[in-house]
Amino acid sequence: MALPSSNITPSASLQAPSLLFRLRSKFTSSNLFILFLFSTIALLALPVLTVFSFIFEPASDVWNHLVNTVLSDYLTNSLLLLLGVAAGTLSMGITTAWLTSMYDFPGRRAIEWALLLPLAMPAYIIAYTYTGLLDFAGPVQTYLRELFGWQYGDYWFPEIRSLFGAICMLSLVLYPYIYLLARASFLEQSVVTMEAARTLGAGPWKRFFHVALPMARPAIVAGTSLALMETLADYGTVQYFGVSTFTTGIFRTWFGLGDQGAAAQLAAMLLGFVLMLILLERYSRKQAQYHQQSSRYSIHKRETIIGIKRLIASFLCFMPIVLGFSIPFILLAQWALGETIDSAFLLLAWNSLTLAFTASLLALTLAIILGYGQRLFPTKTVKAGVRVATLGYAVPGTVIAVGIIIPLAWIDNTIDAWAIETFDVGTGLIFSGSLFILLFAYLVRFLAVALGSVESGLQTIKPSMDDSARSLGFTPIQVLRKVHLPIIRPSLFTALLLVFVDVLKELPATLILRPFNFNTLAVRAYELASDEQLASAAPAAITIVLTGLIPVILLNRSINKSTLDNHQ
Amino acid sequence: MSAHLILQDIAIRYANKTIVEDISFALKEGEIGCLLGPSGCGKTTLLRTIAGFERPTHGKITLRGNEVASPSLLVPPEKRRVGMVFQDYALFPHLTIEQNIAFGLSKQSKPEQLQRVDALLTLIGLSHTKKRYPHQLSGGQQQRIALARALAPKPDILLLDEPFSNLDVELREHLVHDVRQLIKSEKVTAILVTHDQQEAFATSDKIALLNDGKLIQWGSADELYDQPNSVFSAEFIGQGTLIKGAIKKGNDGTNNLQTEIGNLTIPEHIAHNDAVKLLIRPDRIALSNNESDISVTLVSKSFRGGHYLCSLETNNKQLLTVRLPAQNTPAPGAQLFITVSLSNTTPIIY
Repeated sequence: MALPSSNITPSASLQAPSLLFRLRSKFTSSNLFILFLFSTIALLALPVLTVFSFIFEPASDVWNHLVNTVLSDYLTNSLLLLLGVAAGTLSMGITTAWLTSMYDFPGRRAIEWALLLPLAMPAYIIAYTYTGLLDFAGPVQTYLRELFGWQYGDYWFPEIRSLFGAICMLSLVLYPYIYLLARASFLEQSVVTMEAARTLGAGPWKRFFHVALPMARPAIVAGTSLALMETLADYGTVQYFGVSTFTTGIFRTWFGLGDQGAAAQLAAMLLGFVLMLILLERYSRKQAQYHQQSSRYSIHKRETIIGIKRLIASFLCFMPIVLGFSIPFILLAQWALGETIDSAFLLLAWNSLTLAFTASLLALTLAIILGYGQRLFPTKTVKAGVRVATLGYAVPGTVIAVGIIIPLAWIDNTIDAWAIETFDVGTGLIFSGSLFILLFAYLVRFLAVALGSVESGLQTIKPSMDDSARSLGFTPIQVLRKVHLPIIRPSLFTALLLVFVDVLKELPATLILRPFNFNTLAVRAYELASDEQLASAAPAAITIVLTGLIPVILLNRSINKSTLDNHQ
Repeated sequence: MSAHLILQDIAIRYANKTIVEDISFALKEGEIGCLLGPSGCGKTTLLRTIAGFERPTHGKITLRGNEVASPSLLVPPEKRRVGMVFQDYALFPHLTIEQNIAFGLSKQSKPEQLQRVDALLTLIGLSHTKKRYPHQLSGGQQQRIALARALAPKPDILLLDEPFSNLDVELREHLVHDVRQLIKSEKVTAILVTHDQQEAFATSDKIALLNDGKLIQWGSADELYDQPNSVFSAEFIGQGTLIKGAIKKGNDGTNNLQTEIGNLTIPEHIAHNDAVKLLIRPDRIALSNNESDISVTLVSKSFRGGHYLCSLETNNKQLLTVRLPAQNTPAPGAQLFITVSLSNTTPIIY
């Protein structure tokens, strides 16, 4: 039987369009698409909004207890950590960026990309590796004791498991953010501007402090805010070193004191810090456009330095690589070689890989929908919505976990209560007790990474290409399938890979949200290390580091390509 | 008085590539020199060598009596007291106009700095932009600020690298004049690089014509125009036609150059067997009514506002260029008679 709507003849519809017809015209495919777009955005923004809503929650007893006891510790420790990491990453990042972009010395080319290697090293892994190296029973102190015949208490040795230690660990793996952005800025700065400064009598120090550094300031501020976002997000390092910060506080309040509301309020405070950093980062990027003027002949000539200066430059650039990558990597490799790979490890690896792969596929799909959606409907509302949906990249995993578990647990409990009432059978925790919640958290946290790749790919396709395909009779979906996706395939692959690696490394959200008895490489490495079984943690840790090298290689390749393009 | 800037036998080579070679010239104090030539002739490299950014592989440069560059000596730019105006101006984007101009004055006291900045800004008529940032200024304004910044520390020599190339034509003509006046009023010795002969003529006292890394001719604008020493000079500067000639020994022993538009006595140093050409500028040709003069056909004409630039052809298919007044210009195909003035014309050996 034909549907009534299909019986409408053109003439009939002209005279009196039926209600159904009018309804159908409201639900055109593009309206449906927009509806879908905004529901996705709303879903992704849900955790952050949930946490924010707790700002207005009245204070519980636990919260008052926190305020009276540990909150000031959380605040001071988090602030000291931020300050320390800022100082550490700035000094390492700017020094290495300046030396590698202005001077030529032996090994400069290799150093340039090797300086990115610490990016592959998650802070919690480097933290426990150095603990194994430097604590009382570690090889360094043991050697010193044997050498000088010292006993326990005879000598002073810096305590690695301290706030200072955490600052060092985080600085060692986070300085590449500043190095990358500062270096790009130094290289993009018109060579002529520096030459102008020279003709006006400015020596090397004045040129650095009065010209190059102020001009690179927006880039450096942007890099610093990225590094500090990561610092705020860190849970593994501070927890392992026993430093009480917001992230560890959220954990303790949730699981130790069992107060979700107070934990969410802590999370909201932390989110406040993060938002300030996001605003700072966006503001600096805007400023940067006035500070960079490209030059027609900016063929960059590095000054060759000789003698003692050359040695100092090489040393300053080698140190971050050796400390941030080589030493921990060699140590991990040594420990890992002593371990046997058993079926438990293989199961762990399988869990991690399938989870990371599923998450990255989902993230890619969503990124394509959002990216292409923005292209089809480039309105302010859609763009703003997409920005909100990708806010999660800056939000610590602990905060996302809190923001997800609260609404999902409520939904689960409601369904469960309804099912018991109606069918006398409980449904249990459908969402919050399954892998669903974990995947959801990963999407919130890492969608921005995938979207970044997809967007930059789509930007290379001229809008006239869409128009020409449409004029040849293709629907928007067909255009996406036949034109865009084949062209941006490399970007899609990059998106997949970046999310994959990020999920593999992720610790705090996984720790909170994983289903009972479900382990990943990151969680297992962290648990074993916490139990002082450093060597047993090594196989999982080194797997994570090795996978983490992939995006570093990709990054290095894209940098080389872009500098090559500039020179042509 | 000895010269202010002396280049002696300068050569610059990168790896195996010679950029410039055998460059020698001298500028007196307060003179404006110009490095003129087509793109790729090495003029910018030469300017950068004078500034101290490049090291000569041969020869030496003397500035105010002090040697500043030779293969074994390189006084860095910051120690050389040069002022430079760059092609894209290279203003510091993070500093205000005032701070930009004061950048090279850090050795002076604050009041002295402000006074100098104010004086220069008044001179270039941009006092109102003092507190602005470079990106808020137009191209022409940025160019003048760049000039003021370079002049502020009273440099021993001012170097300008194609300073007008980023400006549109109308603005350019205006500024070329202003810039010369400003440089002259500051009594600074200057060198300007350009590929535009009009700019060179309008700004400079002395011009170095460069081609393919070699100094072709050094002289004032009218010397270059009236007495080109080579085919390149003749063709690069101004309009005109080169005509071949044959040398005949006259009865009185003088050299006589015979061309189809007339004969000319030429200096004795030109050997009998040298190949010689004569440059005929359009203004050397005049129409005549005398049928015994040279007979030509008007081939084509193009309107230049106020006059026509016309191509004439002699009976021997030799083309000549001439300017004819816009009124009453005959149509192409017309038969005309002309006279050519050959006085003060120097033959070019090639």
